[in-house]
Amino acid sequence: MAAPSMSFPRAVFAKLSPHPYLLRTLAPQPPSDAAASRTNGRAPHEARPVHIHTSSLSHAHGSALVRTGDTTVICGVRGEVLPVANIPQYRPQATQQQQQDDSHERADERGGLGRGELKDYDLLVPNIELATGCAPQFLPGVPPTTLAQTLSTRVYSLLHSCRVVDPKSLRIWYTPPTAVGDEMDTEEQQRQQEEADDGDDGPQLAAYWVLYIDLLFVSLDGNPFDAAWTAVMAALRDTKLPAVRWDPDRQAAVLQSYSQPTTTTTATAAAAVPGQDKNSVKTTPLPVAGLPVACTAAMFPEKEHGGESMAASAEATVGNRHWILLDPDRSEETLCSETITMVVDCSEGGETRIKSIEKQGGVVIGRELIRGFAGVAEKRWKEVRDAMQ
Amino acid sequence: MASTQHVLLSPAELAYLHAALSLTPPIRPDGRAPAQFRPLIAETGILPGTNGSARICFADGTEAIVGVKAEVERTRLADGATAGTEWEEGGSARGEGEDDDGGDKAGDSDWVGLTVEIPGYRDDDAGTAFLGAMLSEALLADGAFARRLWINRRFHWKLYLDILLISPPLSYPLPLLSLTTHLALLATRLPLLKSEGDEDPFFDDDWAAARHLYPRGSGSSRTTKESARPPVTLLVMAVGNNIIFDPAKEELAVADVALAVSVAEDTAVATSTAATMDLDDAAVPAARSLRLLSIRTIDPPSRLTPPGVPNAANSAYGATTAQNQPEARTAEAEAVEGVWRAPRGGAKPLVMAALVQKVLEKGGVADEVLDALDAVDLG
Amino acid sequence: MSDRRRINGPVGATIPPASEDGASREVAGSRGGRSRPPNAIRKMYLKTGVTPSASGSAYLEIETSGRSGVSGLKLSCTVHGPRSLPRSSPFSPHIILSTHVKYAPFATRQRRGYLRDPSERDLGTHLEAALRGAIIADRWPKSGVDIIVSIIEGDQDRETSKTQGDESWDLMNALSGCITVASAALADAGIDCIDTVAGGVAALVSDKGDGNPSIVIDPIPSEHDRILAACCIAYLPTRDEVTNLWFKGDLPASDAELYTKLVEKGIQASAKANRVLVECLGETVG
Repeated sequence: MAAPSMSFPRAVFAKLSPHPYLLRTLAPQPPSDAAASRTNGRAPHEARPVHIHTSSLSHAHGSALVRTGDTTVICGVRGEVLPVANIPQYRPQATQQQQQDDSHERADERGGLGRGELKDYDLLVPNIELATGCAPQFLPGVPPTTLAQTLSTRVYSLLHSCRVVDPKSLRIWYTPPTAVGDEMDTEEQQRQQEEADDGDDGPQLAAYWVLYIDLLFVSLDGNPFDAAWTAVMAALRDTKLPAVRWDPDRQAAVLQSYSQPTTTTTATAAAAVPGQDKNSVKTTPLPVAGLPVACTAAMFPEKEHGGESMAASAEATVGNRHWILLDPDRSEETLCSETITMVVDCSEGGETRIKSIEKQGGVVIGRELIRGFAGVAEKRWKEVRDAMQ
Repeated sequence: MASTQHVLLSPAELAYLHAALSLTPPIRPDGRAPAQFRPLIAETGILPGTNGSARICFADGTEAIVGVKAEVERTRLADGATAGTEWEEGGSARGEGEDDDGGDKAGDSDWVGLTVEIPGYRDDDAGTAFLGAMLSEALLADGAFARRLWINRRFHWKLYLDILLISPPLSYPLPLLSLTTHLALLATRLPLLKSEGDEDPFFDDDWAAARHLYPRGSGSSRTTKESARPPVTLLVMAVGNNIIFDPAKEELAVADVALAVSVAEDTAVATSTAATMDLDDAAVPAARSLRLLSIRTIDPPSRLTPPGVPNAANSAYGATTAQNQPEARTAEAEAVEGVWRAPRGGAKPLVMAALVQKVLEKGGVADEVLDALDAVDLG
Repeated sequence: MSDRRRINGPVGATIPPASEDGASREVAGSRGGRSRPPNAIRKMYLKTGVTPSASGSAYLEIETSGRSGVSGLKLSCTVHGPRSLPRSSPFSPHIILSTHVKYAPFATRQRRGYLRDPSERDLGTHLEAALRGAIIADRWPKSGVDIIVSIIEGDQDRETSKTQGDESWDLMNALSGCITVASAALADAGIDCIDTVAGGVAALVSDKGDGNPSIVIDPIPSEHDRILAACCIAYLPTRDEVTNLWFKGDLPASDAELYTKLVEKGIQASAKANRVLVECLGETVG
């Protein structure tokens, strides 16, 4: 009896047996001379193009919408003021020293005190929200899943280790006014000025800006970390914090509009944008150091591993082919257990600096692969940099 | 949610009820008239530790208790800082035009905290939040309630209303909770203020000197916007062409549309009409002038009821089973007389307008309810 | 309250920067009235299929009034279903709707937290009532459908320092947007509906210039001095039925005309929004 021929359309095949399907497209059998490609038509080293739109939200101080393929993320950066009085473990001494050290370029090497403020006082608060129905397994009504928590933590630690935000730009100073009256003679004035120079009446740190970085995933089709990190960087570069002055009577920071003269501003110079409405608030762009870009790839094995021991899998890797799939989408992520993420920054003088390397899930990716991957990450950096302009 | 709780009625029972309620005049299961309310037991002053409390039992066994507590709170400015000694003239636009006294007396809807507790449901359940929102919306709709809570520029009363349904939610609890809240607010008394101006407030220790939140017998100083009575929310439903008040659980299960309407009494007009009426006939009570505060559609449980199967499609009655399943499923079966089908779509705008009119008409249901609550002794 | 599973900010309370009252007064003065005629709704942009992994999805954007600082409404909705119910749930002859509405933290002037607050649950209940009338529920026994609406940007004026009062009217605008976008997503998911639902808002406003209150549709609360009453209507045009009505305000009962006119205008607004919805669905879903 002749066996019935079975032929399925591609989509059905992809759902029934995804692993062999992907394997067949990556390693086409000899009769076929198709190029190695993935099920979504991309080459293994091809990432999806990035589209970035900024300044789309009006209630956030900075915002960005990033789309890589079907993964869409919206990031909004909101600044709020944290008065120093509300910080339980505040240490004023450290910041006074830093004010004097501002002119020195030692901050980079030491990195100690500057980074301390951001981390100690929790001035950067990134959060990733996946429970928006972006994929069928992320429905609201449950607390954040492991994936959401891991992503938030990774973004948090990367933000702090890359030092893209300078705590100097988040400080809000307050200079108490010295009383100068007409009836006073010059001697009194001099005495008062000397007293003022003692440092007690100099500019005091009154408050900090706290940046709430909220990411909302509208749609998720694999590789959330890259998209999230790109959105964070784009939103931070787009952030414009309003110029404020500290009002001691109200114990609050008050916005300054163009019609009012500035008394004390933040340490960075206020940029007056020409053509602004007379009554609108003055804003200063947040200075962001560098442009670190994340690049993720997943490792697809020829044979499906199934919970073997380390020794067994080590043997298995010898005759087992592997493919590195850059920017994996959701179906590929489910088939691959090992991933590598590299964060590079090529903006400082054209040389590539590796900011972070993370590798988890398996034993295949070794030193040579990682070295080669740095080149791939560089190319990705250029793509993202071009998309940001 | 209580309204969507599955009512354990079979399609035959539902069809019967629907047919009975669609007649003119409608025949209700307990024989009431369409606008007749069930008797209720109401009492106030049951919780000695509160500023005001009330308890109402409906005839179907549902019972609710409301306790009102008031605490003095420092007034906050819009930016979150507390009000200092200098008050900047900000505040909402609501009360500006109508206040004669100096200073901005406009209150904040934050000054009222309302919590609803229904046994068996979490307090952040969607249905409970809906009930709480409806009740607080009615209370704050005239925008002037918070003015009663004003002490001076730096302090105000924060009122906590705790609404508890004691019995399990056998029927939609909204009218019960609303009537109990109304009574409790009427019974609420705030201590008499003895301090003056903007200093830290202190009050008279004598509870007998405490004045009511809603004083009886409105004075002339009240502005037209403030009603001297708290609002009342009524549940009204329509079946066919009939409008039915105070629906029982079974009646609600066959409703075509159900609305919750909040009304309050407008006293300034009432007192003037009372004055003219006194000359004519003192025995006739002044008809209340009502204000419409809020309306919400309630999703009736009739949409979740199982449909009946007409004999033609019922294989037990000889229907052929050779029918192709997919066609039978998508084919729109015509409504067979006597076979229950859950209502689809919404309500015609005219029907809804008629419902609202019925609630608001003079001498109608709302007046009756307010009269009945008036008669409760506030102790 | 610190949420263990999220990155919490500093322990001390952070406050958004306050605005000078002088500045806010000037802004209020230069607010300008409504720029549209009283019977015109704002332009809408509707797109379906933004989340390919969901059964259906839609994105709605309502334009701003053109001035800087006044945002429009941006909503995204995903529909997952019909999917089978968990084994523990009792048999249900109808499809079980569960709606979730969530404001993004950066959506409104005051930063909202990640936990849902009662106003969002209230919106969810309204949305459920509005959609239940439109869905043919008995075609899908033992199934559930999840409708999730994320409000990416609410309809609020950033520069007004007057915080209260405007918030509650914004909820109505948000609800009408939610209804429209959820309806588009349902159509994209292929769930049977008897008709498309769209939301419309009508308000009774009084401006300082003229004494008489007038009725406008699709109001922006910051454009008017006082809003006396407003209603949000979900309307099915072909069947001429209202699935959800939410009215709030203070109207004298003797003047029933005012209420009926308000509801009529709300229905008109909803019908206009429906036309845009049908046009868009005709292009994408076909």
